[in-house]
Amino acid sequence: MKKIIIPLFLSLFVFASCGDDFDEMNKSKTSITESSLQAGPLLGRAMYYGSSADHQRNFNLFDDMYAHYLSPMGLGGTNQYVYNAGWGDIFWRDFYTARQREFLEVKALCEGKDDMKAVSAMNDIWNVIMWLRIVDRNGDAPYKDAEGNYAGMGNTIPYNSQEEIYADLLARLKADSDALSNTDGQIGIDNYDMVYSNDFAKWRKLANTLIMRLSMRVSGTSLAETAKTYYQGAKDLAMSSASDYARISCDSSVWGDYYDRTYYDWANTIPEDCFMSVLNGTNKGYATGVADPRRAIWFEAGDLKSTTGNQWDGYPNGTIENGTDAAVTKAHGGNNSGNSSSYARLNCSTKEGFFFFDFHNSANQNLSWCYATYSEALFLKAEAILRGWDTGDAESVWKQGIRASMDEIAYFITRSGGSTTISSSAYNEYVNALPAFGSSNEEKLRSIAIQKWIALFPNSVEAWAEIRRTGYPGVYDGTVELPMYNSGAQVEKGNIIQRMPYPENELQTNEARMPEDFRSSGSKFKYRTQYGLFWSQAALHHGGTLKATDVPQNF
Amino acid sequence: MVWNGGSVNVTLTEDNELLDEVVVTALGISREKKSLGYAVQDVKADQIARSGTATLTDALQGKVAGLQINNSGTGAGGSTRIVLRGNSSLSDNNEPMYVIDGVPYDTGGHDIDGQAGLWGGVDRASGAFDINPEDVESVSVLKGPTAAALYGSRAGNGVILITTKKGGRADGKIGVTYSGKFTWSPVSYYLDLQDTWGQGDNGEVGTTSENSWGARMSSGTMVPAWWDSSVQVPYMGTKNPFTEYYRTGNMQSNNVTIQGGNEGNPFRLTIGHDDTQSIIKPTRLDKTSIDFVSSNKVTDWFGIDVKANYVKTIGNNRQTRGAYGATYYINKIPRSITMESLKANEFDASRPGEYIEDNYYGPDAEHQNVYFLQDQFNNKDVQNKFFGMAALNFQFTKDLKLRVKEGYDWTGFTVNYSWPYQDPVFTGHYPGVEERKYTRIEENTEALLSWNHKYGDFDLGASAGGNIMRYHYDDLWSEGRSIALQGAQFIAAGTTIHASNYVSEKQVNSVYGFANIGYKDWLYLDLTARNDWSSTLPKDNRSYFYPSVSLSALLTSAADAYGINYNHDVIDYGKVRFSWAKVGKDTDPYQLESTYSTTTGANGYIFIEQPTTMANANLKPEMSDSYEIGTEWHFFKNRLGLDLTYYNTVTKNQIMSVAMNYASGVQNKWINAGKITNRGLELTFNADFIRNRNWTVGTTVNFSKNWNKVNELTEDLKMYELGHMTGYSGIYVYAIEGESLGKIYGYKYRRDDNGNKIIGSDGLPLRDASQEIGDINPNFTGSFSLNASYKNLGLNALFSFQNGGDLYSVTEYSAAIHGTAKRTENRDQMVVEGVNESGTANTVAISAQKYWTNAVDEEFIYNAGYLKLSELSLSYSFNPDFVNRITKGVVENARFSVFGSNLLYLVKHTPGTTPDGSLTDTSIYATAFDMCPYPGSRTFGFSLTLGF
Repeated sequence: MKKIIIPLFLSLFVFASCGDDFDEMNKSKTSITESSLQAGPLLGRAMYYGSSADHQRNFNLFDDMYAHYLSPMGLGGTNQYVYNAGWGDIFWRDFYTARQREFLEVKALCEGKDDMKAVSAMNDIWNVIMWLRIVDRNGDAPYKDAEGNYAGMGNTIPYNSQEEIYADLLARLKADSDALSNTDGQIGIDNYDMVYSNDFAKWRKLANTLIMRLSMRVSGTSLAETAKTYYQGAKDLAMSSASDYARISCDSSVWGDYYDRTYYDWANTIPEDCFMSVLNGTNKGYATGVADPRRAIWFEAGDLKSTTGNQWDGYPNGTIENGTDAAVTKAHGGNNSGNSSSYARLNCSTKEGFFFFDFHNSANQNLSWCYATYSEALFLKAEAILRGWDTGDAESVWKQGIRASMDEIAYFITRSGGSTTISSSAYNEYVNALPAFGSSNEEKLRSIAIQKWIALFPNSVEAWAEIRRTGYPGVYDGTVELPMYNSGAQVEKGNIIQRMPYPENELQTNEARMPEDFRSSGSKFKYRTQYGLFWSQAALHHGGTLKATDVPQNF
Repeated sequence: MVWNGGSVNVTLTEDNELLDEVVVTALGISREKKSLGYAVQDVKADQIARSGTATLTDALQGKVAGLQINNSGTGAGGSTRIVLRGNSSLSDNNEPMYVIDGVPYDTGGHDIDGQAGLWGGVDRASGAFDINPEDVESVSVLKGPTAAALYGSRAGNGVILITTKKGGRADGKIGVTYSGKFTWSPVSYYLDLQDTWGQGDNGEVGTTSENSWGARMSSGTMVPAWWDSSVQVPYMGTKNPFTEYYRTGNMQSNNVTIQGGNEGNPFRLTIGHDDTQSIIKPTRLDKTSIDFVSSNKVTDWFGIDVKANYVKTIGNNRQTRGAYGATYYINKIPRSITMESLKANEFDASRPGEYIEDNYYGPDAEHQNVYFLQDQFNNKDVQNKFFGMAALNFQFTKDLKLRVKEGYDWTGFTVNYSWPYQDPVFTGHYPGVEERKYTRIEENTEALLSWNHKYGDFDLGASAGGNIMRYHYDDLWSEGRSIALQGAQFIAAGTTIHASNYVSEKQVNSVYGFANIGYKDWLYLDLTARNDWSSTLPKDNRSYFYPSVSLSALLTSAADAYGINYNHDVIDYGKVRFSWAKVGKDTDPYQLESTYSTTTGANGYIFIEQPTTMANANLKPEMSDSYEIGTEWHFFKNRLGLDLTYYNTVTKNQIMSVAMNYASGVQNKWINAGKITNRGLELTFNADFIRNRNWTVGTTVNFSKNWNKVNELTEDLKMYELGHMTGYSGIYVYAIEGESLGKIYGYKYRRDDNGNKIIGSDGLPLRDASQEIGDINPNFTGSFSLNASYKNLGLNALFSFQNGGDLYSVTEYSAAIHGTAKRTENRDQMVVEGVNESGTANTVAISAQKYWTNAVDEEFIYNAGYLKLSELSLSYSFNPDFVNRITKGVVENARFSVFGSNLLYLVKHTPGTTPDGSLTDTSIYATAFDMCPYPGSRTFGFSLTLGF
């Protein structure tokens, strides 16, 4: 019997020590490798995730507040300039580890394919939008090398200056616009183009509108002359109608997307007092006495009259300390107990609302995230006229911008079956009640900037950038000290936030390459969010930082 | 009648019994304990039986030196975290391996509901829960890698070796045993709350506030009701919301065993049923187990062993734990809100038929009606687990034998959820249903050829064997969301439907051999060697080899052999031992190649997702290197025993995921790096103070001290994050080079050089930078037991203790900022002691509300040390003659015992909660937090064993 058993046993050793099928076994069966990548699912994800996904932590808790559009009522902290890295670092993280990779992968897929030049340009334009957010939030950033061979770079990634990045982004947009000048025979990305449904002409308009935006941003810097040239090449190719808006439809069934969760849960979407008082026509620095016709589309009135007797109250940013203000704690959007908000809130409850959604309907097309609009192009043009970059009557272009803004809202609503449009008479009543356009360039710019700020809503990313660049609107009009401060803040008391801090990941893994002043031993580290970016006219005219009481100076 | 419950009396061990004590070691090989060069500690059936705990792992608590057990804060059926000799792995791979009757047993949990236990999710326990304590004959704990060098990869953290009862009786008859156990677990340990101040802010009544910073409560003060402002209610809440919301848990366990067969062919069949009602109302667990073992000696040279074990566990409506679990919400309910009002008004009465949740505030993610949660979160899990083996034993000659064994462990798990109502928190989801099914299979095919021979003074043994381990995991998940059809609770009714699947496979082939040489019954040398080939490692690093050596010298036997004199009345037994081992560890499947996953994203798009962790095609196996020295002595006819071990384990080449610079395109990267040392002392001491015909009184002490150090991380990483909590506070848990593993970081108050707090102009103390505020590692842990018996009556008490170690109480923090914690009871204006920035004493008074809502992390760090009476039992074995007589021969023996567990904390620092029962998952970093667990319970019960 031993004769059988022992060879049998020894054969087990032979079997045990081989593992030829191990390589195959250790390949995942439920994921794909690089060879299966396609442009649509990559670029589509870049579009959706670069905008509405994780919206609260990416946008609402920072830009929405810094732009003074919304207040995170009940949530002390970020509205008092205390940075929460667990939220604020997410955009940077996802940008470098996902958006940028998606961009590079799509770029590689388009390479050498004659019918994918348009897709390549779309991909590039989208990437510029993403880069703009990084550079406008943080200033200098890893740019050139991050674009290249990321995997091999390890933890030693050099930085590029804001100026370098801006110059390159402008050049890229110009090249994209040129590439889109002839799109015969070009294929798209099917339904993954959630911005323009493969309408290449509109992508080209977007590229040129962005050129106007970027060049105006650097109009007060050493790049001004180059920017002027770019502007002049773009102005006639930019958006030309309200229907040219660039927007993405959000999906209210996706948890955490856009305003659905924030609205219902945490009341982070109460309009900010400053914004609301401007819409109400009661802001002392911009008193019109007439309610803005856009107000009732963006927002709805509080159900109960608040102590001031105004159902259209906004909530001032920065005052609440962990909900200790008893008068406001119950003022809470989404409250189902019958005691509803005493403050105005995002208009989510009627079909006419800009943000209309209904959580029984899984995919409501009305939710949208806006990137660029015709009205913005008009306000840019109005400013360009003041700067001598463009010709025409600044005031009438400014009024066209206001009209376009009102038209855009109607587009969003009619697109989903609503019928509200803003009538000519409502427009006229509003425009006639506005404070005078102004006589000096500085006064005119203030008029343009405030209307642009209103029209940009809800694009708080761009709104915050423009507030920092121009100093307008001076949110409390210089008469009240900004309350957005607490002891943990990363700005000195009285200053207005100018940038986001570098993520903790950067400090931990790449500190030696960061700008010296912003390293943990650097001179600007302690109050690192108060120093203006290179294009911030408002801050630069006041020594690099800006107080709420400082008077803007743009010319 | 054979009774397997074991003896209550402390065994009167004689010298020769000490020498012959046999323990089960690696690969199921029984060895004389004296010949082992490493520490093995046994827990016997009777120690398990008398603990009265529902699970085997709970029963091990306090019985083994160096075994640290943390219970989950999730009540019955929750997970347990077991670590032997300290944490050694940064990737949370610190659990020991379980082996039952020589077959690896899968204890993988069903932690499928949340990524991290701190943030909600449901604890569906681990496989260790399915081991019926009734079936267990003994548990051998092989502590270090030395003991486990033959088990390979998974045994690096030690092995819990379980031997089940085999049945059989000398007379060859069939015997039947019944045992029943009944327990009650009242809600006993929960956060201390203040009972003076009601809903409101700034000392004033505020019926729309989320806080309890209001006025003094009084039943005479009438205020508008939160659910209907036209109704007036007293400004007075429920005195104890915890006992009001939670209930007394209970369990009943019934087991029937049939066994028989003669000496050579025993069999045993047990059928058991446990019915457990958790302290949280809708949760009920139902477990049925069948265990069959049989041995058959077919011929002189051939025999068959069979084991088949089937367990079906049904978990009904297990509830969310940690943040977003019931305790999390109860902790902050203003003290003037009654629990009855929440129960009666969980739905908004003004919108009848719509079933809209209502609450005193919100409702929103931070404020949910706890009674609504019970009705909304319906779930049921069913686990079918089959575990078994068949072994063929060949005895070729007296010296040579072969054992070929196939072990099979199959787990089928299904969980379904339904949320019948809309939910203000998960808008866009509910009503909805979700279902997940998976199977997990592990097969082990093993052969072992063994040879033994005695040449003169030498006992020689050699074995060689091989094992093939195959692992397969197959998972299917689906959900139907936003169901519009009222009452429909199935996937197809969803207006959006998602599904996904996942498959994971792994194989490890191994060959091993070992040799043992015994010389003159006093000196023993063991050598082992093993080589593994793992499918999860790259081709070049797939094969890894690891050896071990151990030496045992019986000083007393040597003295006898060489005629050296010593006092035999004093010294019974003395031994010194030494061992050294290396153990290799592989990794999880699919870490070598970066792949992209796909998801159905917003608006129905299929998106391609980037991998966030960079794969590493050159991973190497982890290696740990350890040695231990120990000595064991028995004195005075074994009335005194002492066992002391010193160990040192160095874990190198850890496979860990390290943070990358984001601009590199990935968040993390798999690398081999790091070096972690655990060294420590383990001491077991036992003494019988009295030992005579009727009485025995004795004690056993277990003590262990572990020093843990992170020697190296990586070249450019000196702090490795094990986990963090943001949003509430910025608490991080780190491995820091040069420090012990598990430093807790958070904010402290700013202090001047003299240690005075620096107070800002607003009267609030200023916050300093984030820094170390605690360390999860205890200074030492242990237990002592007192055992006394008089005739057939036995009394056992077990005390367990931990000294040091820190814990951050999120439980108290979340209550303190809402003014419900006991700590906030003093509402006088306070002047915080300290100086302002110019150095003069602070004089600015602030309210308690202002102080507590701005309190920083250091306020909520607690010493996790404790001393508790963990077990107390009294048992009586009836005289067999008496039992026989009164039952007219039906019952042959009977035993009755009453017991209690987790009875009393004699020392404890946490504010009402327990320091050792608040775990929310089994990761290292979870041990740093007390994150709103279900309340802790005392357990009382009785058990009855009848032999027929």
